[in-house]
Amino acid sequence: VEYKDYYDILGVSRDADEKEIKRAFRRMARKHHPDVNPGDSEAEDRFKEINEAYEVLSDPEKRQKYDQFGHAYKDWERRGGQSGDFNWGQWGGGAPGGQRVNVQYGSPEDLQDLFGDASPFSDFFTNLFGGMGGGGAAPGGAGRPRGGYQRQARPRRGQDLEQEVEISLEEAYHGSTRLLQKDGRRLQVKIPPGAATGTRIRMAGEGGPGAAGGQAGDLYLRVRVADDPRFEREGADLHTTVEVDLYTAVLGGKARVETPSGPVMLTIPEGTQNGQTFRLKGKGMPRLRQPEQHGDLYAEVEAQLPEELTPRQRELFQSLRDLSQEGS
Amino acid sequence: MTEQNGIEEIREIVTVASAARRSRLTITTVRRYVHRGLVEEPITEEDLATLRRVRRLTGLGINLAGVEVVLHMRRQIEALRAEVDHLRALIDS
Repeated sequence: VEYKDYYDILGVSRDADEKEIKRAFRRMARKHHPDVNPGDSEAEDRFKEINEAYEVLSDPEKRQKYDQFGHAYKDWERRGGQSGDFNWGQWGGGAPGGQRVNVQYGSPEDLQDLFGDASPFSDFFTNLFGGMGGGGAAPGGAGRPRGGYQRQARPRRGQDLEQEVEISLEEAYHGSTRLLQKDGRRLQVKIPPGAATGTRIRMAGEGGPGAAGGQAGDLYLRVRVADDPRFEREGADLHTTVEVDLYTAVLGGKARVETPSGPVMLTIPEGTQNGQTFRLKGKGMPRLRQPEQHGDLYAEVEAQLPEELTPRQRELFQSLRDLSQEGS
Repeated sequence: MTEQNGIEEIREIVTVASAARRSRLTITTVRRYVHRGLVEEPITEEDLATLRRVRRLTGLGINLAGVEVVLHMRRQIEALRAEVDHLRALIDS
């Protein structure tokens, strides 16, 4: 185990203050960071040293211990000691239960990204400060793995998955069921009445599996309601057109209106104008999570004028016109 | 109620919330990075490494413009490295 001069690695003096150390670390890290030097193992080793030096010098407690150790080591060296048989006994590992080490890049994912499975710490560091548990506290009393860093498999939650499902407006109105296949298993999904495009349905625990005993992620189904040529949807309200022939519009009567739950007959009052809109209360879409409440359906009258007239009809329309001109 | 037997395929897509949690960023930050084009939506498993990389680089005091340059150069280095490996393999054979 070689003695490491952390001050030398960061290029700072022994009495450098926290700010100086931080500045030096950032400057060195920017140069040697694995994110900036992909695949360069030399830079990676250099970065590990820099990170390790910063880990120790930025923490007053560790720095103090390191300084004390440095004096003892130098004394021992002066007395002619060989690096192989230095007595680590009084220095090693800290208190039982493991000293907690917070690395700059301490999440397991970061360590994996940066160093693969290799240890980010030297034997020297491990001897002095103990092993470390991937950014979190090591399980109590587990002791330190000698001669290297051992990754503690931490329970990790599985990934969340997202999947789009397309439904028709009728399905959105009544609610629907879908069967999905995932890893050879069938999942039945209930789509609630009132679902709209963008509604997300969460299926707890149906996402990716967790690692090391972590819980599974969730599966999200994102609903897309297919366009319906008959209706325009606006929240829980629907808009549609209703064709009314000229005679019904003028004289009154009944007209057929489509609703998502089937056609209904609408009473058309005498003298209805083209473009006039009728509100059919409660005939719109159910509200999500309150399916007993419905929006309204707005039906806009589209009066149909006769295109071809029989001679007899033509004659009658003619006399109607004469009559209205006389009256005015 | 309509019963459908539509069998759907599930893609490896990560929700923004999940991506934020797993890259230790806030949801707003993830959205900002998406908006800036550092990663594309929908976010995939591979994008998580990029998101974490962006976080680490900004942690070094590099601004987002600098991060963009670094990521771009990284991709170039990786492509060159792959080419070198390929050429070496050709020479060896």
